[in-house]
Amino acid sequence: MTSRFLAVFLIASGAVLVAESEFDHVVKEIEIHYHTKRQHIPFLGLANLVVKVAHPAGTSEFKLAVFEDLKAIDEGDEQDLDRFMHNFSSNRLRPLVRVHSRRDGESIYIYADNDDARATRMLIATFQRDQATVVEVKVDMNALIKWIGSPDEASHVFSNHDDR
Amino acid sequence: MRIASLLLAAGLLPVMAQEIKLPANLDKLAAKAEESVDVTLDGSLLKMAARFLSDKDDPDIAKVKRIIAKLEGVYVRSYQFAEEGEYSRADVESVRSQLHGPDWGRIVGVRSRRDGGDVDVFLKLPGNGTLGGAVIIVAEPRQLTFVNVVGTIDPDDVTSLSGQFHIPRLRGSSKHSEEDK
Repeated sequence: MTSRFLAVFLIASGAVLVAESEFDHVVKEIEIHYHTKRQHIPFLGLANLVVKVAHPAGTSEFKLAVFEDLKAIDEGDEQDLDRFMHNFSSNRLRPLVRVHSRRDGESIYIYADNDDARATRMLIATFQRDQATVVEVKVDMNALIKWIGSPDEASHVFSNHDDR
Repeated sequence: MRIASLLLAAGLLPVMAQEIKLPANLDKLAAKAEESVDVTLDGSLLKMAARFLSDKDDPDIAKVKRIIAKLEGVYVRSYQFAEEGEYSRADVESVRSQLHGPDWGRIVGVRSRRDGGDVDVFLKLPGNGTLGGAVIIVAEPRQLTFVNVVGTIDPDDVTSLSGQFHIPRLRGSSKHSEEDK
């Protein structure tokens, strides 16, 4: 019985690790590709705790990475960005929404990690001029459907570049 | 064009489930567009959403949940341009011409001389008494939108899906058709 529990625990731990690696992978690749480092965000752990308890906007946990001074990102070069982000598409992490706005100088990519559960993980990457934000958030289905229809809202729930 | 203003955002499919194909030159429109939106929802995600969407106290969600359970994909592409004339009629025709086969029937066709916008809704009629999907094309002077809904769908459901997933709103289409002609 104990070994069965251990097996379940290990499988569950493995699933979490795989899920985490998607976010970490994107963060790492952005750091390499755009010669930047993610910014330190104070009290992020506390914010995550609040999200876990309060479930705002249908979310139950999130991770956030903010980047500034992205090098080698040309304004209007959406195709390069598309190619870069396409590398993260897989059977596990599937692209749902892609938005390019020249008016706002912003590109938004939303991926879903379909784990056949009541909630799904969304990975939202936002690029605006020389800044980028990557958010991984666990959401319920209602939030997912809502955010597919409002990707800009989804990208600004956890961050707003204009405020900085 | 009034109906066009009711129809917001959206587009077609990369590989329309698929039979309908977006011409390669249409992808180049994204480079010209002031804003482009690309939505890809495949069957497994829709079925999962249908299973776990919470529809209590919300009849609209309940309806969407019922509809998407039968769908195999929803694909949208929308391009918004800063100026008129950024896309050609041939761009639209290249997609529209694929919908002239015996399996397809056009249930809505609006041509507005006043605003220069066109709206077409095509339904797939495979001949077995069911509807196999829908394609919506909205071509306005500064916005071009393609929507492909793949799967079993009722004509009324097309209207119900409008406004979801970046699919343009289609309310009052028949009324506006008459006004716009």
